[in-house]
Amino acid sequence: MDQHRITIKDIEPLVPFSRGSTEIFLTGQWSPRKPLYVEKTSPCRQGCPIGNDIARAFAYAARGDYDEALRIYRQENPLPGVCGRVCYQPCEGECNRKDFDEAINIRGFERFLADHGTVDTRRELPLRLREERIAVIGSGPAGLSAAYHLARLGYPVTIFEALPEPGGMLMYGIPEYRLPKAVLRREIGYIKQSGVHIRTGVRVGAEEQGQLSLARIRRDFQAVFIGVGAHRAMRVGVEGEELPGLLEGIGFLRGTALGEKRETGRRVAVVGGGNTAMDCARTARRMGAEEVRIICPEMPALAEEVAAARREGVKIEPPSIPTRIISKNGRVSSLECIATNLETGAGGRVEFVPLKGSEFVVPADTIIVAVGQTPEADFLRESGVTINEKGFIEISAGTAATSMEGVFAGGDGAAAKGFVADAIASGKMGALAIFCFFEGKDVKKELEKHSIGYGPSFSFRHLIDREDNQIDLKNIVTYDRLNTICVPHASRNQNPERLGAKQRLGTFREVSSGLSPGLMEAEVSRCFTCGTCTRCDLCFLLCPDISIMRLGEEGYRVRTDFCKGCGVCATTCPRHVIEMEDYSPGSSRTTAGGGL
Amino acid sequence: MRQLLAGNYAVAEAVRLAKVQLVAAYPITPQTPIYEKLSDMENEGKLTGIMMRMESEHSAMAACIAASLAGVRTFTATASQGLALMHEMLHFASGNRVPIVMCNVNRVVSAPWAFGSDQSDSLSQRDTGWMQFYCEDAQEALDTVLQAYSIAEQALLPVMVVIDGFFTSHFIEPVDVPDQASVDAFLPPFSVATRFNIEDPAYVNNVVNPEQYMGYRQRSFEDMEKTRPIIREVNQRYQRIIGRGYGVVEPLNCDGAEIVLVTSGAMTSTARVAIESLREKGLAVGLLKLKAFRPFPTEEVQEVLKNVPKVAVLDRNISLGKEGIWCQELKAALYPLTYRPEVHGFIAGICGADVSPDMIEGMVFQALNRAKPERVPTWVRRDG
Repeated sequence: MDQHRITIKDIEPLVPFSRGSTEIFLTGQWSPRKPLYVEKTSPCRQGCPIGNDIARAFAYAARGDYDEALRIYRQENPLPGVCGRVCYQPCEGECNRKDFDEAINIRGFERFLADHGTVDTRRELPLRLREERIAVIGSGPAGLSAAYHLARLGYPVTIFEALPEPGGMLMYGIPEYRLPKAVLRREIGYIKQSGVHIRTGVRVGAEEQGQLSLARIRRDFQAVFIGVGAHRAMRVGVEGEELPGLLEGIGFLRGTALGEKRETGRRVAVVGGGNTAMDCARTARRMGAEEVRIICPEMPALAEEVAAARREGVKIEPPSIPTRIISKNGRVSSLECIATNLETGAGGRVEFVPLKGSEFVVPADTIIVAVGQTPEADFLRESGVTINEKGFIEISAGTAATSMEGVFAGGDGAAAKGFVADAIASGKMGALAIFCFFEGKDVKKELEKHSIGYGPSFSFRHLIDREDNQIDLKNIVTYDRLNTICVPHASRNQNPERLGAKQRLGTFREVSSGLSPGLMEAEVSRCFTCGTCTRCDLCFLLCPDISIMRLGEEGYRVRTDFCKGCGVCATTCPRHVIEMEDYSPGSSRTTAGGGL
Repeated sequence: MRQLLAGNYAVAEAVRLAKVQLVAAYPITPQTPIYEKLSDMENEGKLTGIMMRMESEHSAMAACIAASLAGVRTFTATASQGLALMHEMLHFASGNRVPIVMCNVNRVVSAPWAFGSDQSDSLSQRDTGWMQFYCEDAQEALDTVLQAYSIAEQALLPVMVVIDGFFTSHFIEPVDVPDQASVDAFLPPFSVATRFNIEDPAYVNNVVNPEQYMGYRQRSFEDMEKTRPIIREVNQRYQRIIGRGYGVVEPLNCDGAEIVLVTSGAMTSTARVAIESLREKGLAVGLLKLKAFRPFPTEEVQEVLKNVPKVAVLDRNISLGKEGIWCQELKAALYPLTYRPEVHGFIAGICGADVSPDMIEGMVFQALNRAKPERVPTWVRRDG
């Protein structure tokens, strides 16, 4: 009962009340311009060698669903806890937010997800199991990645690992203070749960030496992925390199990881300017060396690694190269070096030219040489796999195929770019190539179909999950296409350092710490989620023609019957998920067979 | 309780006493003190409802319409350009049959830019479907706002309560502010059902065909006609409960008068003084104050003036190409009479120009001395 003195029944004769609708007027026919709601790709994803769908993960995190965010990551990358710590974060260099204030702490986000999120591998089991058996040689980032993605496609995969534990350089190369073993073991555990079988302590090589031969593997498995890495240290090529007290960097790090207590003495000289050299220097400081010097003509190491080494008291000599190892009592005692100048020689080649008379001597109880590595690939050459003149496995560009039928390769051993993320990316590429090999597909066409932006990364989720095909992987949302008008400026939340420089030296505990949930939330709220719809409802609320339909999880649909093409939705969309398209006769949309 | 109040504040007191639930307004001279006073009241927790500070008068009226459709008592106030800007929404208000009460403080309409009192702003909104009541002083303004709610909510038509800029709006006078209990006894809570019922959704204001439109217009016209007894009944009830009342017209010494002076708004107070002076001089002069403009008090006017030989109308407004607006309306109302008085039109006090008792006496003498009315009104100006 209406308790009002004047009721609707009283009012109805006085003013028109319509309980019908105006839907018969198809006002959408007034304009050929229509909004197109299509999710696009963020520039950070383009920057990521692995092709992580970073913006989507942030969108889930913004809703508080960190588990789903982790799941998004894990659909491209089985090692988010690793990458969240040691990646060189090319994504952040592409982040649109850097044009607004500061780039998002994307690496810190990936680490947070891996450290706090829950993984349920049962949700990720393949839809169908396949019969072709695949062997992966080497359990570094490339091998783990290839095995993981192949298992997701339903293939039975076995990894052969020579060392006692899987992980390759992640386990034996990267020191504990940068990447705790527990994190790596947990992620390898998930890979095993995904169906990957790992056999450790099995060296692939010559049968006559009691090792498993490639030929034998090829008899038992229908395809092989070689991810043996590059564990053979290169030499400096100076006099005295065989003297006691000279260590090769990669062996030094592996020994430390295996728990060997190495006596380095008080003074250590590290030769080399890459990340391995930085790891050696910082490890030497932790092993008790008081004076650690780095000698190199240039420093390809990441700036943050160099800075961390400096903070820990490592001295970096001016650009120089070693010329001679000086011995005393049959043991190294110092290193003679000469300063160099960087010069561009004929044909644009960069050369390090020694400066005459600039020789100097670095006293050293131990010299650690970390000037690069090559793969231990002799067994492959003997088996008939082509190895190039630099000692790396030769693969054809964009297919990961070696010279041998059904044998593919990736990672450092195949001269992939030397970072962890690149190794993981090459493992993905290997998995795609093996899938295409079995399915009789053209791998280059398949790669093009799933590649992100201009490549070379591609999306495994796009390959596996058909629902995901709505995303326009080729359309990268640039900064000028965003609407940042309602975004407040906020500074980046950096991962705090857990330990001060002095505290670090007595321990291998992890130096940097994860973001707290509070800081993470603040950082998540900074992300523009370029190209990924967050269901913010701005288009829905601002559409003057009530032509944006809210579909819940599926986002929104444009009712073109009533949309007059004003473009408010496209202009207002903060993430450029909506853009206007012209369907007038003769425009690209209509001539391409689109249209209404 | 008797207080010294400017007319604007008296209006604000009435809004408070009426327990208005939504005030949506935009400031404009000389109405702004109403807005400010209501803001103060809201701040002090004395206002039952809330204030919406709008970006324009057009929006203020739109907000009032929407709120009223949603089933709450609303108020707004404006003047001059503000009312002109609101014009489109005034039609929407009456067409939607929402009982909004608005106070318009008369101010001349630009150009040239000026501020004085002038009825052109409100009289030019004649055909928007609003009732219009013109008040003589602050007390009448307060009482009329309260009565307006009762009338509007029975008729489902909006009411404009009009006061003169500065003369009424800013002059401080003793005003009797009724107590809340008496007002509550007079004015029950707003009781018009919301038009926005989620259980039974309907579209208000849909497109209609010509026959339907004409039907709704006719119904609105008839309902405005039906307000005549409502206005009387409301005034009687107000008189009974509060102790004061006002007719739609107020005749003074009109019986047997040789000439009747017709006025509206604040000028009536001055006319009262002039009439007294003229009567002391032995002239049979009457005064007729017009309060209601819409609905126009045709019968009441006919009744008062049916035996009067001459009428002088004072207009603080001008309709170019014709004459003063009250004068036109009065002539039209008197036309059906068998014996029609002569009607002499005077234009005075435009833009708040001074109209003194001696000027009014002069107009009466002019009218008395004329053999027949002029075709155009006589402009009475101190400087010319």
